[in-house]
This record gives sequence, structure tokens and C-alpha cells, in this order.
Amino acid sequence: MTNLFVIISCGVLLRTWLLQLKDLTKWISTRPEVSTPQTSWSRLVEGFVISQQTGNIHSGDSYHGSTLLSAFLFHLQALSPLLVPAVFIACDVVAAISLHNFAKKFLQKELDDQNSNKSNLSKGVDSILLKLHYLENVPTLVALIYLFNPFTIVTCISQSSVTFNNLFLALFVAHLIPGSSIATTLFLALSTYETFYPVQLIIVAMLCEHKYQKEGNRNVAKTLFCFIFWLLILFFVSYLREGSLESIFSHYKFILTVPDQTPNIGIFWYFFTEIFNHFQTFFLFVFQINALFFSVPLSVKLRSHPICLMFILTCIISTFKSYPCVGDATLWISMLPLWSHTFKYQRQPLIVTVMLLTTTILCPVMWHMWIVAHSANANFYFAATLAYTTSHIFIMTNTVMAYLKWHFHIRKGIHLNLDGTTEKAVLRLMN
Amino acid sequence: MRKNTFTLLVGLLLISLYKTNAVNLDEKVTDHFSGSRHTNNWAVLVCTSRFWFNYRHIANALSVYRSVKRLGIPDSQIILMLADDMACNPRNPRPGKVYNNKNEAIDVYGSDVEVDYRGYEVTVENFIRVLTGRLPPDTPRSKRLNTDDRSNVLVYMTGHGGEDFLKFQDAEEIANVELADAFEQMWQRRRYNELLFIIDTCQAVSMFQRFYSPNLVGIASSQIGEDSLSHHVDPAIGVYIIDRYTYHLLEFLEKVKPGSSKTMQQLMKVCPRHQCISTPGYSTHLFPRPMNQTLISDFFGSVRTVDLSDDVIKFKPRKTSQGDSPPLKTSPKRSYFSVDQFVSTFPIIKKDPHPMASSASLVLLLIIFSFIIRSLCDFE
Repeated sequence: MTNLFVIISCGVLLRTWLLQLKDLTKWISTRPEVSTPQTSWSRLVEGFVISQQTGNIHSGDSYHGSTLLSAFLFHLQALSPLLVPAVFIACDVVAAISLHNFAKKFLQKELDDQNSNKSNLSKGVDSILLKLHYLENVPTLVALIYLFNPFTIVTCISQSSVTFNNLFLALFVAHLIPGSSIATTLFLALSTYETFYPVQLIIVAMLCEHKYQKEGNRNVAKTLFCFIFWLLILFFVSYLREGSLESIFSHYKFILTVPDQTPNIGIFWYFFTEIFNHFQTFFLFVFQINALFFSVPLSVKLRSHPICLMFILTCIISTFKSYPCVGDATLWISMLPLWSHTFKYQRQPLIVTVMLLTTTILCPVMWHMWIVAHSANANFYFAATLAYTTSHIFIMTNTVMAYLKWHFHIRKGIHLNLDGTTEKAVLRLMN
Repeated sequence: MRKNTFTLLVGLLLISLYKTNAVNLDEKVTDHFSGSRHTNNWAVLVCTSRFWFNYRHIANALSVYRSVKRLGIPDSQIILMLADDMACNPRNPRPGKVYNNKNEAIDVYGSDVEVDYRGYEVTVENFIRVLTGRLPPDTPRSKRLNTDDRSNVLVYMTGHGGEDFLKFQDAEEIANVELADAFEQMWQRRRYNELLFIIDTCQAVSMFQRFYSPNLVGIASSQIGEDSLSHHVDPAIGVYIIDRYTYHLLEFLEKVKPGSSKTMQQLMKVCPRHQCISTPGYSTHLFPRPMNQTLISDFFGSVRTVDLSDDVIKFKPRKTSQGDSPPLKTSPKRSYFSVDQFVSTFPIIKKDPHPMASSASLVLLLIIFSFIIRSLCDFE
């Protein structure tokens, strides 16, 4: 408890200190890795000015976020300009606390599952089992990683709306375990309302409801209907504010048709700058289906491990969405310690981690070489971001694979030969 | 008798006055039709060669540049197109200087030369674009030929030429028909009043043979089938330093001062065959004025006719049908310091949101907050 308090206060202090370094915040807000056309604060401000002239915040191709978020931030800023950075810091804090809660509940549930299924476990697996000390250390570690991840800090001080998205997703996962479907679906609806892709996570909500709720209270359909209900309420309120159907869906249109090809850390822009117009619709469909479709086979495979499904779907969303930024990755990076008991079964964890770090540093370098120094071109930058995306993919597949392998090994034993015997290999030397 | 004499004297006086007036009128009419009607002078000086062994062509163009500047045309009205690879050429034993004579008396490059198109910018396309004015909108003024229908233009070209063409920088050529068409485009867009075209290359006459636009004079240094030759070598520099025709042209121009009354006919006597070895050619059939009455300063200088008057002219306010013209209403000059000050003068189109909108959004916000607080509270 005190650990958490110390971590949170250090995080808040760090952010307040960084926020008052105006040059740094200005520079970071302009970086393509941090701010996208959908989430950028400067675009929001421009949208405010445009909305004062024309009444519609989405006219003028400047602001591409949702109506309610812009209304909320506008009134917040009208109240006091100091309140806005405070709200962003508060979002980070609340998200960290939610992730901490979630980690606690999840590990408790896993431990309970493990203890209740002791008969299914094979002998000699004690070394890899989940233990109590995980329960003490991991939640604090999750909160620590979330608050002190450079990606989160950078997103917070650039006042990008990804902070809100992360908050809503963190609150969503926090309510998953006890299965309070109203709260879960509310936060998922908020996140889906802002950025379209978390709609895949409704499957997670339904699976969690099925798994963690007691037999009598189980109502999977209720989850779905609650989600649709909250979404309708959100769109209704924004329709009341805006007065036209077109403008309340314009940010969805922006996400799905991807009209803006400014370079970012994703995979869409480079491809769409070079294809012929004739094929644009086709490849738009291909890329969007790529971002959405993985939920189907993964849900089938991971139907009894919904939290793992949630993790990998969050990774896929943050990697394959149309306008990603580094802030999208912080959520699942901070959830990695939840599977620390399975790290033994990861393949080349060092290489993959170093790849992530290297590519994170390489992307701004390639940007500088391309845009500022004119000694590189778009290919350099895209290669660096592609390597960054690949490292994400390696990490997520490693983690899920390791988790599934762990489940296999605790049932079948640690040392296994192909024919099922548990002999150790014997090395015969010549001399 | 006295009365008769008196009448006779008065009559003679009147007749002589009348005659003087008539003479004055005649003179005035002649002056009007033989004087030039231009109000500004421009020059386009093009050297179409590059590389060290074509030193003399750069020296040609720069010498004419210096003469034209000395006679009054400002740099802003001279378009100088050179490869500009002589002064700082590694083979130049006089770095930063270009000479047109082996006595090395005048440095025609100097520190105040303004080359408008240098190096690889000297192309046929750029030359024609400069003449016709069809330049990209972001071209600076120094690279534009901003002439109007009262401009007299001097076009001087030098380099390597052949029959019906002129070589541009070893890579391309301009044909005489292209040049004639470019001048026709200039005429149709009223980009010159009168134009003097001087060309110092081999077989130069072929370049003006296809001209068909009015008010053009052409002077070429050699006939078809003849080569224009260079004048002399500067052994200290190691290359031919000036061409014959331009050398004699410069000799002639040295004696010309601003306001000089030398005529074009005297210009056309420059460099006869025994001096030039090639025979200069001339084209005056498109020019309305006679050559012995056209001044060189119409093209080489920047002299304008000015009428001085001691009269005081009072401007009265304009009387309209509604009475006197109203006093000028000047709007107070405002300076805007930021976009939103300016933007606020736009009409604001406001859509009325639904009256329930603010209350609905407030309720929603409260619901979200309550859920957040609830989730924070059931921690522990």
C-alpha cells in the first residue's frame, strides 16, 4: 500500500516537473511517434477555434477525435487552463491504480484456480508454479511500469488523448474479474466510442462474464446488450450536442478510411502513399480486416483464458490500428509482469526486449535523418517503425506462447521427451 | 506710302512667324515619329558556353554587362545568364577575376557582378521562360524579365553556334525558329517596345533570319558558312580571352557616354571584314525607324526623355453629378497580431445545440465519474 503511494507520488512529481519544461513538451507534442492526427492536442485546440467560427469541430480536417472528448476538454479549459494537465496526470494515476487492482485480482484468481486444480497438476512442477510472493510484488510492479514507462510519460506530457483511452481500457480490465458487466461495458463503450478498434474486446467481456461469474448470476447476453446500450447513450448525447448524424461519426470515418498519410509509427501510411488509387479501397479493407479479424481465432483458442485473450487483443489493436502511437503500447507493456511466472518458456526474451529498446531509439533518429538532415528518405523511417512493430509482435506472441506452454507443462511435467518419458539428455564426450 | 510699308513689314513678320511655326511643327512631327517611345531599358545577356577553354565567351558576356551597366541600366533590369565557372575555376591563375584583354586592365567580374542564372540553370527552357515570362510563381524578381510594352530590350548572346542553331552548354540547342517564336510571344504579350538582338557566334546571321515580329533589329558577327573568330590570347591566363566582334564592339562602346548621340548606323559600321575576318550581318527590315536616327542609348543606356515644367498645377476635387466628391474615407489602419483577432471578423455560423445537450452530457459525465470513483474505492 505504502509502496503504491510512493510510486504514485513519484510519478505525479515527475510529470509535473516535466510539464513545466515548456520546450520539452512543445517538442514532444510534435513528434509523429507520440501524436497522431487523431490524438494530438494541438489539433484539438485548432478544432476549438474552428468550432467557434463554424460551429462544427470536425469541419476543416483538423480535429479527428470524438465530440464528447473535445467538449469535455473544452469546458475544462474554459474553467481553468491549469486543470487540463492536472486531469491528464490524474488519468495516468487512476489507470495505474486500476491496473494494480486488476493485477491483484487476476493473480489471486489464478492462484485459487491453481490450488483448486492441484489434482490435475503433474509431479515435480513446484518450481514453475505461481506462488504467493508473486501476489505481493507483481501488482506494484505493474503500477510502477505503467507510471514510469517513458511511453506513458511522453503521452501524458504531450496531452494526447491516448491517455484517456488507456484510462478507459485500464478501468475496463479492472472490472473484468469480478464481472460487473455494467461498469465493464461502460468503459469499453467509452474506449470504443473514442477509437473504434477496442470493439473486439467485447468478446473478452463476455468470456470473463462466463468464467468469473457464479453459475446463477451468469448472463452473457446482458454484457452485450449493456455494451450496445452504453454506446447508444454516448452517440445520443453527442448527437444532442452536435445536431447532425454526420459529424458524430466523422471520427469513425477518419479511422476507417485513413485519409491522412502523415508518417507515424504504424504500417498504414507508407503503403497507402505508394499504391494506385484503383487499389486503395481493396487494401483499405485488407488492412482493417487485418486489425480486426485476429479476435476470431484467438477467442476460439483462448476461450478459457480470457485475460490472456485481452492481453493479446490489446497488443494487436495497438500494433495494427490505423494511427498508432507509442502510448497505445504502454497498456500491454505494463501488463507483462502478470505473466512473469511463465517467462521461463519465452523464446529469446533478451533479443526481443533489446529489439524493442533499439527500435524505439532508432525511430526518432531515422526521422531526424529524413526530415531534418535530408540524408535519408521515407524508407529509413518506415524500416525503423516496421522493426518496432515486429518487436511488438514478437513480444506478444512470445508471451502468449509461454503462457500456454506453462499451462501445458504444469499438467504434463517439466522435463519431457517426445515419447512422454522424462529422461534427461546425457552428453557423451569422446575423451 | 508709310502705311503700305508698315503693312508690308507686318505681313512679312507674320509670314516669317508662320513659317517658323511651320518649321517648328515639322520638326516636332519628325521628332515625334523618329524618337523612341520607350520608358525603360532592359538587357538579357546570355553566355551559352561552359568550361575553361570557352573563357572568351564568358568574358564577352561580362564585358557587355559592364558596358550596359556603365551606360545606366541597373542590375535589377539586367538578366545575366552565365555558366559562371571562370572566376573560381581551379585553372584560373587570377582567382576571382575575369579579364577581357591581355593587358588585364579591367576585371569584368569584380565583386559586384550579379549573375541571375548561373551554372546549369542556363538552359534553353529557362532562357525562353525568361523571355516569355512564363516562370513558376515562386521565381524571385531578379530572375524575371518584368518588361512592359514601353521597354526597350537588348538581347546579347554568345557561344558556339551553327547554321540555324545555338548550342547551350554542350547539352542542348536552341533553334532559330524557337527564338523567333519566343520573340513573337513577347510581342503578342507586349513585352517589348523595341528589341536589339546582338549575337556573336559562328554562322550567327542564321539566328535572326527567321524573325517575323515587328520592332526587331538584329546584329550578327558572321554570315552563314563563316566562323566568328577570337581576338587574342592572354599568355598569362592561357586561353583566348575575347572574340573579335565583341572586342571591336567594346572599343566602340568605350567612347559612348550616357546621353551620347551616336546612332545605330555607326554601331553597324563596327568590325568590318578586314578587322573581324568574318562579315557582320544586319537585319533592320522589321524596324520602323531609320537606323541613322535611332540612338544607341535607346538600347544600351537608360536615358529617358523628361519634360521639365515650371508651371504649378492645382488639382481640384472632382465634381460629380451628386455634387462634390465626398472626402476620402480611409478605414483606420489596423494591425492584427494574431490569427484569432482577424478571424473574429468572419461571420460566425452557429448551430444551436439541443437544449438538453448540456444537461445530458453533464449527467453522463457524472455517471462516468461515479463508476471511476467506485472502482477506486473497492481497491483493497
